[in-house]
Amino acid sequence: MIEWLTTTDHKKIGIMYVVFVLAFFVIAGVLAGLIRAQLAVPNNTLLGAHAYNQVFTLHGTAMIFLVIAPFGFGLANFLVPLQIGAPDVAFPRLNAAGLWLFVLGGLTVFAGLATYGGAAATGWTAYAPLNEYFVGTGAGQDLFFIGLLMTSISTILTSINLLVTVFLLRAPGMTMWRIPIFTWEIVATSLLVLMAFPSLAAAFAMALIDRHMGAHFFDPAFGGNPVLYQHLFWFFGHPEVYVLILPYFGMITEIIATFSRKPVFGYVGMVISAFAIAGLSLGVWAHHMFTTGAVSNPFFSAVSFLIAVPTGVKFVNWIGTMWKGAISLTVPMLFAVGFLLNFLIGGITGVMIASPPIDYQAHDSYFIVQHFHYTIGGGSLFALFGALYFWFPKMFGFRLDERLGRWVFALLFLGFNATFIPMGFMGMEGMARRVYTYPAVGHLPMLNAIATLGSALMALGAILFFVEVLLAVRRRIPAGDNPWGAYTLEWMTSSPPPEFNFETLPAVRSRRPAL
Amino acid sequence: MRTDWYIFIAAGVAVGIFVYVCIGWCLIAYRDRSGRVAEQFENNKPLEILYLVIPLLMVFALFGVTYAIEMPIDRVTGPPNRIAVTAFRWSWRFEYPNGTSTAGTPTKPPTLYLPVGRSTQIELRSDDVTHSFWVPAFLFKRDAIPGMINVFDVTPNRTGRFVSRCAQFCGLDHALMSFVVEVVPQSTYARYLAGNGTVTP
Amino acid sequence: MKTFVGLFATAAAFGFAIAIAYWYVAHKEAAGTVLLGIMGAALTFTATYALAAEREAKLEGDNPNETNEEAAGDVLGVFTTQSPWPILIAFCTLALFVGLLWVPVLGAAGLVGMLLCFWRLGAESARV
Repeated sequence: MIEWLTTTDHKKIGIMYVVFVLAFFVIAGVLAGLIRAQLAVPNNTLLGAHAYNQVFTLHGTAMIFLVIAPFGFGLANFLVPLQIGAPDVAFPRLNAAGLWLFVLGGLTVFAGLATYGGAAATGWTAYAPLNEYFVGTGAGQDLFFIGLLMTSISTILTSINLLVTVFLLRAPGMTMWRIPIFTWEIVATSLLVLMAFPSLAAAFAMALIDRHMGAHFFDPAFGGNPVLYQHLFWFFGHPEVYVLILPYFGMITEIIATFSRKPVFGYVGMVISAFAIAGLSLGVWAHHMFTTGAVSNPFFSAVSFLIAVPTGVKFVNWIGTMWKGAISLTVPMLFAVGFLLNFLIGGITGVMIASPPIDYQAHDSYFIVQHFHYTIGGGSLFALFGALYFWFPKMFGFRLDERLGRWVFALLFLGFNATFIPMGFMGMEGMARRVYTYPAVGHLPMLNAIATLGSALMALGAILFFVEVLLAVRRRIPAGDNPWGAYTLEWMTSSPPPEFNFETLPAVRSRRPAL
Repeated sequence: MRTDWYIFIAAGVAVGIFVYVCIGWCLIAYRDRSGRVAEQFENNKPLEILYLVIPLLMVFALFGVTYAIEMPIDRVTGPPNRIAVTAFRWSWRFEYPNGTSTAGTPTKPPTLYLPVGRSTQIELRSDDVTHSFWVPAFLFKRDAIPGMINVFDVTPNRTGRFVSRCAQFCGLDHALMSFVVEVVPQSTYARYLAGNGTVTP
Repeated sequence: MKTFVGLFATAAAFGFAIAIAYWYVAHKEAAGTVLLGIMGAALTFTATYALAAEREAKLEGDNPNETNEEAAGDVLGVFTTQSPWPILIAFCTLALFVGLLWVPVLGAAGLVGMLLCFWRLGAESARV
């Protein structure tokens, strides 16, 4: 046990990231279940207003900061040194510090539940001046800010670590243009983190200073400006959602290439589009602020439309990778296909709301909730499961069951779509987001009931997944070095890899060293 | 504004169907049957350029449509009928040109009266935190931000009762912060103003 | 290494370009312009460092035909397998934050702890 608490081995750290991510995922999932239970019928009394407000705040915060983001970095921790032929990351102890900052930060956010006034209840965006209001004694809100400052520090340190690792520790022959797409996406993500996270730290620090040291950054009564918080938050916030998807683009690329038995189509296009997305994402932040009347809507609308282009390039490249291949629908491939189908809807609704006249209706409604759940849930979360099934054998040396995996996929895919398709219509009918109840008008009761049933299906799928993991641990069917016949360097060492990763480093002469 | 929705939904459905068909085709036609060998190609320069250029043209077109539709919506022309709307936790206050003022509570949402066929300028303020003035029937919302006055014009073109609400999370009873927009004939509106809010149309 | 320089240089150019475009279009809105401008500056800083470092660096990863025999013997860095200091650093960070806000004694303890951790980290690196 002490060994795990003090390890600096990137593989163990990566595995711990995954374990903690899954633990936070269960908690955030239960919170989602509470939300759907409360909204199953109009005027429900399951959760009171303050309880509900804490629940959705913690659900969003946990899913974004404690599940989707850290899984990307956790998997990168495990995988990037293996994919480039390095013995570990450049700074192993910094790596461990990043893990524990993430764990402690996440627990700190939830510690707010134990305070007198309850946990943060402002939404994960914690807008000013609302974030300066106290409910009870308000410590929950401060713990929210502190906890997320810690996770932000963790992410920044990990990004620096990964960038240095990729630039300096590549094996002989592993030039930058031969590294796997997943590693390229991590490079782009890390760069984005370095540009965007300081802005979040500033926003949160300023909010804390406002709350505790008598400052008035965001208080208009003293010359402050609430919109400033929005600028600082969204300058981080929009790149953050690309931090939430770029690693997953990488995972999907590896999975699709492996199970189509083909090289990645348009490798250079994939790399350039990753950086185009990252760069453009730094210029679109105020599309979250179209309705404030305080920003240049045309500028942000134009750049937001532009971001769709490199994303489209990636989509065509994935299809191009599958084209004329030999596709085997293993469980990871099923999740990859699910990703493509879901993320497309998220992307299309995203292009819609990049248009201010549409956003004037859709903003802060369930239409937006549908959009971001399709991209983060239907996209990143599905890729997360696909990645787990794909790299599980490499991490542990034994396999997950394929047949049960198909059931997990089916339940998650059906449940997910059943939950979130109705939300687009709820939004168009005028249902706002972050509401603990809604009136019994129009189709809202029916749509919400369907969404709640869908969420129950998803919960079943998630439970089945954990059952499957337990079964796999009991059965321990050995996996071998390369159970999937994949192409990248990590599959050329044992499962799990030995200390310092490679007994003998293979010669790297192409993008597919295992071929 | 409804046009914007229709155009984008049409484009979205078209792109969606096209991509889904491509994916479906791959899954069916290139299924790993025995003896199938995958063709090993990595790129196709003309194709890559094509699918860079076509989406670029599409988004230019969509932006053009957006810009054309948005500019009239955001333009403020300064009509004489001005109503001051103030949002507070957790209801609304409406102040009409002649001094008539009504306010609501979370359990008794207030009603905003607007004359049909005429432009009304709304001046949106907030007493405490950021709220949002959302009339779904108008396909429109604007934030009420403390320290800022947001000004916009509405010109309703049909009468009716439209349930509306706050859209920006503002704390405990955000879910109950609704109001009603009632668009009435101009004569009714004039009578309402003359009666100082005591006469309910 | 050349890719490293190219990446940061392109990003820096992009940062300045979009900062100027934003300044022009958004009527000099302060927050966005400053953020984008600083981003451009920070990227330039890194790109310059990369340029200087590249002159002296010879990475085995950059030669497409390098073999293991040629690359052997390079010292890559300090690779520990166990260290107690990272998890303690995390606790000290929490103590610092909590101390700043509520319990100054805890903050002081966190600061002392942090100094201790970094001191021992240095000693550990020297040993490995």
